[in-house]
Amino acid sequence: MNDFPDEDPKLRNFLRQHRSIIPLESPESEDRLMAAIDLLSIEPSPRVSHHWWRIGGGIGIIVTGIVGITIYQLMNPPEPSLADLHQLNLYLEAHAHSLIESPEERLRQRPELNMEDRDRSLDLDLDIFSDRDSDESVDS
Amino acid sequence: MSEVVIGVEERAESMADDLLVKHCVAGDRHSFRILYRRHQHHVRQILYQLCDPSNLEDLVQEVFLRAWKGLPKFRQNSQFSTWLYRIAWNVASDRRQTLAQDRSRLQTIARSVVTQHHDPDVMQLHYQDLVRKGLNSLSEDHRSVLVLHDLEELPQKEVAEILDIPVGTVKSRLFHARSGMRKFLEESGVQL
Repeated sequence: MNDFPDEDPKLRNFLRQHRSIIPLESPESEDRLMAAIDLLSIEPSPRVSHHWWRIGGGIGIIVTGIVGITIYQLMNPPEPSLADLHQLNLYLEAHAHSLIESPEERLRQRPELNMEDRDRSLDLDLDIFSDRDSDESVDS
Repeated sequence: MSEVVIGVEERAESMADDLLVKHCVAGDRHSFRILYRRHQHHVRQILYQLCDPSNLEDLVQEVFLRAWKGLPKFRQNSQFSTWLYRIAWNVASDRRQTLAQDRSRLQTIARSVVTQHHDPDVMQLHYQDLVRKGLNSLSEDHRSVLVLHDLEELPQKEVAEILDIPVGTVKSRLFHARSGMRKFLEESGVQL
């Protein structure tokens, strides 16, 4: 692709033979340069800023991890153990009568309701109880 | 105690460039002094061939000051010398632009002086002047590759790195630069 000749010896030799002779270096050049450098403070190494970026990045990763774990735990609550379930059963058995009241008993406790409200409430409650009864009848 | 210091300095003198660069980045000015001594002659040659000789000392100082400031950012993907010559080329390019008008004035003066004498030393000066004027007649791109490769003897690959161009482009520019230089010399009465 490149068909240009690499060298041109005649021209190159002529140029080197007749190149301009550079003037001698001034003896104080080196000291002048070093004095100028002494006046400059070398730029701080970028390692410092990298160091802070690393710390910031590490904190970011930790915070993200904590937030992620919290969200996961909220969306997937832990399964109750057998001991917990057993304790819950015992509690329900012990307090079942005080927690679940019959509709008639509730209406007796609320004499302010008129007859129409009583009937509607009674119907709703009976629907609930009828479901439970049917379930129980299936089980039995 | 002084023998220890001398021993340390001698060891530094023999260190490779990349190691000296690391010491410089850590703030060791003596390592930079060694780099200066090692490369200043080549830098001077490049600057002298690429731009006018006036203020050569200032240009050399500027190259090495830029290098010192830039060392913390130097990633050592290339050799230190290649990186340094690139700085020299940049400094020369900047200077060429600002001194374009002065150069034409100096050429006129040199022509009137040289063409009046014919003894051997003056003929040598005459040819030197022709080479310089021939370089000046080239574009900056062609002059750069001719100086770096044919005069400073840097390999084409390194020239490509310094100028940040492909090696194929270096070859192409060399071809056209040589043609231009040959034409200029022949028109000035030089038989190659």
